[in-house]
Amino acid sequence: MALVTIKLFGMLGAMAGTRDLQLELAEPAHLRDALDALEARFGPEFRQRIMRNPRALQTYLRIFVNETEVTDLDTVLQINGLPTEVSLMLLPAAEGG
Amino acid sequence: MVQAFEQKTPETERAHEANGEDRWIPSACSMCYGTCSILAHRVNGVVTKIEGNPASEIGKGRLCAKGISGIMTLYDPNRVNVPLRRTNPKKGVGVDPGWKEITWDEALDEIAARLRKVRAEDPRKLFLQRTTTNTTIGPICHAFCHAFGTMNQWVAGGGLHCGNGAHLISGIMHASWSIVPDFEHCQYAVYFGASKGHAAGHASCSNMGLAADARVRGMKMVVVDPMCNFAAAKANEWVPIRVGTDAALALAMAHVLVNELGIWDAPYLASKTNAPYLIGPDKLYVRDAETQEPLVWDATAGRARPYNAEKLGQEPLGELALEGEYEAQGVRCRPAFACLKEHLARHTPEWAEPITTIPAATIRRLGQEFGREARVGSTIVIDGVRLPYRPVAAIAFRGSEGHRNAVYNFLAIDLLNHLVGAADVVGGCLGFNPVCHGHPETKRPAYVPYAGPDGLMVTGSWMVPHLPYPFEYPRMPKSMGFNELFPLGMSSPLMASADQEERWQRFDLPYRPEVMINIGCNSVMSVGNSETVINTLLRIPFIVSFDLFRTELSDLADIVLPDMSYLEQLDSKPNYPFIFNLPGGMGDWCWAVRQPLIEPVAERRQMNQVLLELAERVGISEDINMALNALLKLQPPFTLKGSQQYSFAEVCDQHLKSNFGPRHDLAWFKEHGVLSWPKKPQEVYWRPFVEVRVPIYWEYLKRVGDQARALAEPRGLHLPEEFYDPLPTWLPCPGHECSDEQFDLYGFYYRDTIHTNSLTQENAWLDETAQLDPNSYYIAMNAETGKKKGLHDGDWVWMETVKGRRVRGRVHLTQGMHPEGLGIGGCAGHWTDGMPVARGKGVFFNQLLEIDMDHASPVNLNLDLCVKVRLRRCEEA
Repeated sequence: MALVTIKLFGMLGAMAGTRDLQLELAEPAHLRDALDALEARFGPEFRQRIMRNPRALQTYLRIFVNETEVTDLDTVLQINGLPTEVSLMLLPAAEGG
Repeated sequence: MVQAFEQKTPETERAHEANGEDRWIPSACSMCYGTCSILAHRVNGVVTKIEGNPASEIGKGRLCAKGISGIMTLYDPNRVNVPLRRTNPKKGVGVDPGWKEITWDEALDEIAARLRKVRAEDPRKLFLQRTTTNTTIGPICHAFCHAFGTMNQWVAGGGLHCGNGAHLISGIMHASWSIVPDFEHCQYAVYFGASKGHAAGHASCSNMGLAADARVRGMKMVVVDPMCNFAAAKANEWVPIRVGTDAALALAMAHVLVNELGIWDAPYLASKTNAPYLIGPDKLYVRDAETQEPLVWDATAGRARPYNAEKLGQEPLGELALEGEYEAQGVRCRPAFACLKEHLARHTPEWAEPITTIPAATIRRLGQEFGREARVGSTIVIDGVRLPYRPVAAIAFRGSEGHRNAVYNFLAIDLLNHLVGAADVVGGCLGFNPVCHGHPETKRPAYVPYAGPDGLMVTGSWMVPHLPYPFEYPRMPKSMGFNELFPLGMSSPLMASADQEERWQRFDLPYRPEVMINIGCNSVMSVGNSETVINTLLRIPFIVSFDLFRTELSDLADIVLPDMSYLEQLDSKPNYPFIFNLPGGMGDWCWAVRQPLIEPVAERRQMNQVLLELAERVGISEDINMALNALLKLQPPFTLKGSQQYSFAEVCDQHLKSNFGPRHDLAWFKEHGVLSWPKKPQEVYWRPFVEVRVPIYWEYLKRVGDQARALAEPRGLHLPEEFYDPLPTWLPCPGHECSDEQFDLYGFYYRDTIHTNSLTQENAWLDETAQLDPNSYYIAMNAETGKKKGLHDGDWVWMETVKGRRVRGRVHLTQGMHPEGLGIGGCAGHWTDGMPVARGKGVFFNQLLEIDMDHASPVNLNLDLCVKVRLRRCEEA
C-alpha cells in the first residue's frame, strides 16, 4: 500500500473540517486515486470543487506533490517508496481590477 | 520646502551627518498602477527628488507629474501615523468616530479575535477590499483570503469601473490584461475610449514615449471619444461619439471591411480563430458524434471533420471553408465566419449614424482607411525572422467598455483586429507580453498560451488565480458578488449595491459579511453614489481599514491602521505579471523591485507584513505559506515551508531567488534596481508560432447565458437573452433608454491625467496643478450646447439624474466635447476632514451613479458609467 499524506489548505480545509489526513492507496497509486478517495470521504460537493469534469481539474485548483506543482491526474504517487505529501489548495474566483 | 517626518534619533542623525549621505536609490512608482521605475534622491535620510530610472525599460527614464509628486504624499503632515480605535459606536456621515490612539498589539489582538471567530463560524464572513492602484498588495491579499477560506474580495470601483470587459476579453483574445498598438510599426491606430500612451495606467510612461515616437514617425491616430481629451488632443483625428455607442461604430466599420470591401485575412481566420467552425441552427457548434470536437468543413475533402483532425490521428485537414452552407451530423450548418458576415450586413454605416451621431460617410471612410492600412497578406523581417505585417490596431479601454453593454463594445472593437489578422503580429494590436521564455539563466518566469477546450486559447499568465478561459459554467452563487453565476465577470456591484440584501435573500446566501478588511480603498467614493455604499458598509459589524489618510471610508471603520506609502514599502514584483505592466513590443524584459526609501516613520507598517502577522495570530501561517507558494510560483528550494513564520522581506527574497537564482536575491535587486534581458521576435510577435485559436464567434456565450438564466430568472434576476448572443451587436445603456426630454445630456467621468482617481486628491502639488487645469475640477461641456442653455464659462450648476441624485460644479465650455456630453474628471469632491487638501475640490461624479444589477452588464457585471442628466444653474457653492 502507498501511504499518502494529504493537506487541505484554505477553503478546502474548511469544507472538509480538517487540514491533514492520511490515505492508504493500492499501488501503483496515482493522483486520480487520491482524489477519488477524497470524494469517497467528503462527498460529491467536494469533488465538484476540485474537478471540472471527470477528466480535468478545476483551473483554480493547485496541487503540489512533494512541493512540485502537478496538473496530470495520472501523476504517480509514492515513487520508490518515499513518503508522499499531496497538498491541495483552491484559488477560487476573486475580484480583479 | 519638504518637511520630513522621519523619526529622528540622535543615532540616526549622527549617522547621516557622518555619512553625508547623498544617494540615488532605485525603486518603483505607485502614483498610478503604471508602476514606472524610479530613482529617488535621498540626502541625509530625506527624499528630496524623484526621477525616472533610465536603466529600466519600465518608463525608460521618464516620469510623469504624478510620479514626481509622490514626495508630497510621503511627507504629508495629514498622514495616519498610529493605529486608531473608534470610541463612538454610532456610525455615519458627519458622525465623529471619537478616535483613540491604540498600540499595534491592541489593534492586532482585537482584529485577530474577530477573525478567529468568523473563521470558526464561516470563513466567508470575511470580506476583503483593496485598492487597485498599489500593485504590491495583490498577491498577499489573495493569499490571505485563500488561506482564510473566503472568496469575498474585490477592488471596488477600481475593478467595477475598470476592466471587467477589457481585461477578460483581452485575456481571451490576446492572452493579456490589456491591448496596445505595436507603436514601433503601427501605421493606423483607432482608439475607442482609451488613452494608452497618453495619460496613466498600464506601462504609462513607456507608452507615452512610444506613442510620441510613433506620431513623429507618421502613425495616423484616430481617437473616438465623446471628449477631445488627452489622447484625442494629440491625434490626427478626433471623432466625437455619443457616449456608450462604440460597438455600433466598430460593427459598421467591420461591415465596410467585410461586406463592402471584401477585406479579411482568410488564412489567419481559418487557422487562428474559430471562423471555420460549423454552426448549427441552434447557434451552437456542430460537433463530431464520436469525439464531441467542433467540426469544420474540409473543402478539399468535401466533408465535415474535427477542427483538430490531425491531433486525433487523422490525415491533415485541407482548405477550410469560411463561407457557404453545408450539411453535417444531419443539420444544415454554416462556418462561423459566414454567420458573422451575414450578421454584419445589418450593421451598416447608415444604421450606426443615428446611434453614434457619427456621419455614415465618416464611418465608411474610417472602415476604408483601416482596411487599406492593414495590408492583408504582407510580411516583414524583424531580427532575421519573417513575420506577418498588419500595421493597424483598434484599441479599447474603460471609456468604451465601462457600460452595461461592455462585452459587445469590446468584442466589436477587437473584431476589427482579428478580421484583418492584426492580432499580435508586427504593427498590429498587441497584448502586453503574452509570451515569455524566461531569463536566459533560469528560463523563469516562462509562460506561453495554450489550446484549451474546443481549441480556444488559454492565457499562459494572468493577474488573478482564476483564468478568463476556460471558465466554470454558471452555478448557484455562494460568494457575495455572485461570481459563480457570472463567469465572464470579475468585480461585482453586489459587493456594495442597493439590491444586495434582496439578491442575497433570493439566492439563499447562507451568511453575511461580519468583518471587513479594507486596504487603501475608498469605496464610499469610488463605486457609485455614496448613500448606497454607506448603507452596505453600515451593515458590516466590524471594519478595519489600512489607510494613508483618514478617508470617507475610514471614518466608518472601527479600527484604522497606519499604512506605509509606496515610497516606504518593499515589493519583489511591482511590474509582474508582464501582461499587466511591462511595455509591449520589442525591447527588453525588465524585472524591478520597490524598496523603502526612508527609515520607518512613527507607527506606520506595510500592510503585507501586517497580514502575515495576522495570519500567524489566526493560525493560518501554513495555509498562507502554501497560498504564496502557489501564487508566486515559488520553486524548491525557495518554497515557504510548513507553518514557519516569514517576514515579508524574506518572502520577497525567496521570490526573487526562485525566479532568477541565488545570485539575484533581494540584496542584489536593492542595489541594482532592475534586471533586464532582450526580448525575442518569437515572444513579441508570437501569434504565428503558437497553435491556438480565439473566438470570433462567441458560441459559449450562448451556453453561459442559457445556464445563467436558468438559475437567475426563477429567483427574480432578469438576464436579458440578447446580451448572450454569440455575435456582438449594439445594445443601449440605461441612459440611452431615458425618455424624459428634460434630461438631455449624458454625464460621464474620465480618468484625469493629473490625478489617479481618489488616490492622489490629497497630494498638494497635484491639487495645485489641477486647479490650474481648465477641466480637472470642472464639468466640461460643449460650448454651443452651453450657449443654447444660457450658460457661461465658470457658471455653477446642479447636475441632476432622473432618480434625483445631484452634484454641484462649475461648467467649462469647450469645443472639445460632444454636444450631448458632460465630462468630469474622477474621483474628486471629498468631504472628510482627514484629507484637507482634497476636501471640497472638484465634482463627485460617482454620486450620480445607481449601483444595482439593473445598471450592470448582465454578462460581466460592469457598472454603467454614463448617466442621463439635466443641468440647472445655481448659486456659487
